Amino acid sequence: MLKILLPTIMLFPTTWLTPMKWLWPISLTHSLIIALLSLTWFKWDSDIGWNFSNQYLAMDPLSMPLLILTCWLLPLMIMASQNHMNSEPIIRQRIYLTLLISLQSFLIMAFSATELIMFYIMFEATLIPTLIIITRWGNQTERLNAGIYFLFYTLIGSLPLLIALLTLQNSLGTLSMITMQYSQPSELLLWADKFWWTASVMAFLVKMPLYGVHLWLPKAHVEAPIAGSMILAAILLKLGGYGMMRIIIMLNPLTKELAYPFIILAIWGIIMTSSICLRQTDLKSLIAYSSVSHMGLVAGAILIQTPWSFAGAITLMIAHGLISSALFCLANTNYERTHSRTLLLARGIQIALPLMTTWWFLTNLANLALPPTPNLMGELLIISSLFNWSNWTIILTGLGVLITASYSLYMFLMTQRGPIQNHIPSFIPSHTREHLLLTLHLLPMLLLILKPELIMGWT
Amino acid sequence: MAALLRLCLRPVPRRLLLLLPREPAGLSRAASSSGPASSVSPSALAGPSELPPGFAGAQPPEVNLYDQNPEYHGFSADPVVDVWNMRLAFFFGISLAIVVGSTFVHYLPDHG
Repeated sequence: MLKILLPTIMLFPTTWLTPMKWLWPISLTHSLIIALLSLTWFKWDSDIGWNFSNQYLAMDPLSMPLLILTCWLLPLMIMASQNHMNSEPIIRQRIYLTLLISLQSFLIMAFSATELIMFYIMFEATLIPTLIIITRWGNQTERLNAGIYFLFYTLIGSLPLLIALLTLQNSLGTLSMITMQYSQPSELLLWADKFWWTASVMAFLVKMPLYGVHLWLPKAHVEAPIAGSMILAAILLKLGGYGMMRIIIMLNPLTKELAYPFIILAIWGIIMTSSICLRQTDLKSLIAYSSVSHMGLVAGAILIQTPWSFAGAITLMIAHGLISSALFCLANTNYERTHSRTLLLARGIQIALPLMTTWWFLTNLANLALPPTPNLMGELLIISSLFNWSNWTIILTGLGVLITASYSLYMFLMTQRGPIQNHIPSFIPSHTREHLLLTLHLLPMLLLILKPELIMGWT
Repeated sequence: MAALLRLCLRPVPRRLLLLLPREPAGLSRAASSSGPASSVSPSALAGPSELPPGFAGAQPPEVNLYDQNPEYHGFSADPVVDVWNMRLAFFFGISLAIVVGSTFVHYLPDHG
């Protein structure tokens, strides 16, 4: 664990001591080496239990794919930000990279924390660099509102979680995840226990986000610069899913009755948010609502707590992380050329940038869960387990899959097909950097098609 | 009511206009909702005709870097750094991380 964490922390002096000309190549190289080393985490010594552990940090089949995705994403964020940061003063470029690296460090510590309070502290700590990235480097004045929504929605959810964790510490004597699974389930019979249950899951439901408390997400995703959108969509939402999967083992037997309204909200949210996608005029907003829709499936799966649903949730989290990050990168390639996110203003791009259309096509196919992508594997497992839980859910999840296919195709056809806009005389050709960025998103997806059991958790 | 409407339509006498506070032309465009302490002093603001030529949006003018460097890869305006950045990114990203990394993962023993 430390052989990844310490090199990540050493990225701070790398960023501040590298000469100006070589800042971005050196940080990119350093982060790619860390990403390469993180692949050793795939080595698994035991079927269950914890690996690569020390006193405070450890890894298990749930956190391992998320950690590797976190380490993989930093070089991609650095590559995606290089163009729009070129015109900034060198100090600000270094600060930007410092914020990304600090996010990375907090995320590694959050996913590998063995103790719930450490997880909570790292969960909260990720808010600060993200807030600074959104509010300082966002492009429109709405970024301030977006930052406020982002910060306060998450804080309002997570402060009750702190109280709940301290209560749990009081009753159990420890918050170590390693021993929690063996502790006696507490009798949760009082009214106060229902509030405690809600306090425990609300923070993660807001983070995921659950439909109903999702309003921060479209604002934050749209107003953030590309690296902010990538990290938000790919990893920070999954913090919510991961946290819920950790804490929900302690919440039985109350989950059976109290989870109902949240499962219904999650599944209904799939339909609502995917329908909203069909009405969006802003490309990044469309992708953001698509994330809410996919996370609705994950939220429903985690709340029903079956082995297949957990496997589906983990698979969909990783697959969605790669694909939504790729979609934001594609939207950014449009934005850097047209300075507009409006779908109608950037149509017919296939004529101008035909190679980029290939990436748009593949990414949209993965987004609509085309076989044999891991997106489909995750969705199938989740939909099957929800059907087993209640047969009626198939109507909503089936409709959700249909609408997902509709808006993904709509996104592709609106951006790529149709007449090219007259007000744009020419497009700057696609850069090698952009093609490499999308390759590095889609090649891991291809490899996961061949070996999906890497990201399926305890199966 | 009709008398009130006629009053509204009558031009305002010049002496009443002179009673209004004077503002420089530039300040009449926008009203700040924050207090006077935070507003810019009138001398610092200029009317639209007095703005420096490159002011609009304060963004640097867009330059097609392919004109200066036909071999531009998208990384840096400096051609040497651009090429080396591209080489490092491809080597560490594709050759090492994807190729060597996936070979390593492929040969891991099965688990579960």
